Amino acid sequence: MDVEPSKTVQGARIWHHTAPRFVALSVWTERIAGRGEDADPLVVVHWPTARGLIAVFDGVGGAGRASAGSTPTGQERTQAWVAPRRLRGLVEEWFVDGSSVDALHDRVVTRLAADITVRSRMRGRIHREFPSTLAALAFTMHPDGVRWDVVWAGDSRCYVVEPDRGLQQLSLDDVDGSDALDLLLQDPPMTNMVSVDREFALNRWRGHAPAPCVLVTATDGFFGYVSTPAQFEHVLLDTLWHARDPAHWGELLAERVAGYTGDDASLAVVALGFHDFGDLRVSFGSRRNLLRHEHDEPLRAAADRGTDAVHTARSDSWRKYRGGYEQRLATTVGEDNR
Amino acid sequence: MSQNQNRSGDNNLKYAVDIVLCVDTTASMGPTLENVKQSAMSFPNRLAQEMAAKGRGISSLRLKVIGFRDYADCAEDAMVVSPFLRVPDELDSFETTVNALHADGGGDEPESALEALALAIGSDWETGLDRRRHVIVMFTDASAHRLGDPRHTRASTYPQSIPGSLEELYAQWGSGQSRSALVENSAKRLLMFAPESYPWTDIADDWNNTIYFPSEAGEGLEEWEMDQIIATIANSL
Repeated sequence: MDVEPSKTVQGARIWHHTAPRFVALSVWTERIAGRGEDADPLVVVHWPTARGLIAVFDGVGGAGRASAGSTPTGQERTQAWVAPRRLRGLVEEWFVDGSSVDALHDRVVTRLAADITVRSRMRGRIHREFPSTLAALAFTMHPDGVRWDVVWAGDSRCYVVEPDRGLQQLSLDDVDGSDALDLLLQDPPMTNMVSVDREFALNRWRGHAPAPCVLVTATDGFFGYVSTPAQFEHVLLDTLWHARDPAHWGELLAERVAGYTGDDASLAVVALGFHDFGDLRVSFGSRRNLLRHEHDEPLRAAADRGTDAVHTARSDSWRKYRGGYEQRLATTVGEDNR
Repeated sequence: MSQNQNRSGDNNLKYAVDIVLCVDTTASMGPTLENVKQSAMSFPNRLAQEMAAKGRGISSLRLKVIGFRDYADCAEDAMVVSPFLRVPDELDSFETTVNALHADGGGDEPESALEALALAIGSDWETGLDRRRHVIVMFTDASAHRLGDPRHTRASTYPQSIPGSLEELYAQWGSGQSRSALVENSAKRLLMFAPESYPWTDIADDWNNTIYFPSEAGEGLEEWEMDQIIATIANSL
């Protein structure tokens, strides 16, 4: 992949790659220079088998602020910084050797904190040793579409975006509650995440979609600081609409998220089955216009009329949006046969 | 556009933070209490700085102080409870409240910390703003008396609202989507700076949304720096 530091957002990194009927992009940003707890997004493709993987990893600072040690230059690193980066390596290994999700779980348990002595005496139900979220979407490309297995722990998410059906959440956050608007407004603590001192679950869910479509994994820095769930899709498609090429799309996404997020933010995208970037862009033009007129503009207008108007506009947006957004949402750990 | 709305219409959600400081003011806390008080004074500014450094805005910050001793020792001064004080508007009142805390009394080693925790859980928490955080911070160097002990409950000043057992108090704290909870599940956090004795280890293991900083009984809280405490609170939000 081509890797480029962002030209306009301090510290942001953008990766992109284009192949016939394939566009890959990832964006990484951090709130505080040098302290970003998201690992770099992972995008891997094995062309001979038409298999690929996109994944994001978010170190959970509220749960793992304890030190994991210092770098050779003396910079202290927290467990929440180390864990997502080690997890990224383990997930890449897992994809390459093609083993089961259970094998990935075992690999994480035995190797996530290997060779690091933990000295924290802090305890409690929020606290974790080496905590990280994981949202991974392993996919196989077919002539007429794509099949996927999503694997996740925590509140990072996997999505599919279709030109006619829009953004659909696939993974189900590990929190109490599942209403995406409520979760946006409450930002509840996670009930499950990857760590080394507690049992954790790697949730899994299977599905498929016809081509062309776009697969997305993102940490909550991207989707957790917008007004409504529809606004995240609007961010994705509005930046796509204004982009000249994949690198520019990444640049616009980094700029946009830096303007609203309160957290580190990372995202990985693959677009499958579009003739080229121009086709990808045009294919989502109608959907972008719908989001703009039905969701973005009413929210902007409401902002000028005060808090009550914003609450009403948020609820209206969610009422119109929810059915499509949740149509592929995992309802239990298992297989989605639709 | 409103203050919280940027050019793309994306809402930069802010945090409405209510914090209840439960402070053991028995005699054994003497050396530690002055440190806790000094730190509490600078708490609002330091929390705001820490939150700003994390890129998280605070839309509302209210602080409440509960000073506790022991109903079994002296019921008259067993509990001092302030209302929520809005910062920065009521910063003077907050500082006056903190300054008035002094280490004295307490009698035997278990104290009335669970009563303080019950009063904290029953606070009139903010309910109207987005991203609410209801945080209780417990500072003590002692174990706690069990709830429901008639030697305490018959004290004339004993609050009627206090549950009769740790199990009932747990129900008021709640778990998941439980309906008996007095605190919102997604908003609540409990941070405990307390010795490894009853009931702190049990609460750390069994109650959700807790962070526990264990200390040696009778050795104060010096091993936990206030910078770390404030950073932990900010991170837990």
